[in-house]
Amino acid sequence: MRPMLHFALPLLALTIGCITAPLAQNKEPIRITAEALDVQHSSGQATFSGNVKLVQGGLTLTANRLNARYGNGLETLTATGNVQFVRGNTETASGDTATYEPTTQTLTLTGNKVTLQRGPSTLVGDKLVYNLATQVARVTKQGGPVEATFVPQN
Amino acid sequence: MTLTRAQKLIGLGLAATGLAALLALNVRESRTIVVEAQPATLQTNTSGTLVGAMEAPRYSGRSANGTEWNLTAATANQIGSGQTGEHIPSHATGELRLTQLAATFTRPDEEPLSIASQAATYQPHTTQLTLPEGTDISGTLGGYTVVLQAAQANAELSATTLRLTGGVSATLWAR
Repeated sequence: MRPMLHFALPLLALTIGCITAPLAQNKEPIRITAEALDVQHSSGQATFSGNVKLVQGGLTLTANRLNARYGNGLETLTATGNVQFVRGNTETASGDTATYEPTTQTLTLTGNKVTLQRGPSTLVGDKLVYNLATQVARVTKQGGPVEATFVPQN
Repeated sequence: MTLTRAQKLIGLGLAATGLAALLALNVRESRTIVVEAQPATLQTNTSGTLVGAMEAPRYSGRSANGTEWNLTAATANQIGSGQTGEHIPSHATGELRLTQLAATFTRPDEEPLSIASQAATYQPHTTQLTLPEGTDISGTLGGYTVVLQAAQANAELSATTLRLTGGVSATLWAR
């Protein structure tokens, strides 16, 4: 029986494999399906709503809504409501809201319960900040410890 | 009878106010300007409806916040006489069936949003563009080349908005 290690830590920085390929650098096409799309060009906003699913390469994002702000290029991408990122069969991140900023290549996931899972190992907090350039992900929880479960793999 | 200085000043003030009001009433937030749209043919069909056909029509305008829009097509077939008015030429009203259309929205200092489609229905007086189901809409958005499909697609050019419903599929390629 594999030993399960439980930690309660106020801050945990974890270097993991790339869970999300940087949208700004990945040249694979992006495919999005949703129930509706509203574009308001005067304010530079495009919003997909209703069962939104975004697929790029091995990355899948699902959410209730996906909003893109643009000008000369993509400025920010914000997913809200039941946000989930999945890469392959081994890595998952979930929360209430996710914001991606191409200029800093930073993905921020927030919510009452933000979960980062790789295989059987899990981190739970209320905020995940993932720097896609350095591939460093940081899970924090305001006012309390981050819950971490690590399962060593033989 | 001569006017006192106070009466002259009051009169000038009223005149200026009236002129400003007239200017305000005549300001339109968004005007549709027909740049090129010469009816190639104009005839009455067997139902008594006036029908016009245009080649290479072009419409343009500017929204309240300065976004410019342009609409061009290979052909436009007009059905119905539409409404006429002092400032509205007859060929700018009614409903138009467009083929091979392209619409562009341009904000200052930014890349334009452009959409293209093989067919659409256009109402010049309201600048409403309706694309039929299954139409591929291709364009550029935020530095990406985009192809869109939806059951229903509508654009309001003067408001520079686009709405797709009934199930949307979008494919984007970085440019």
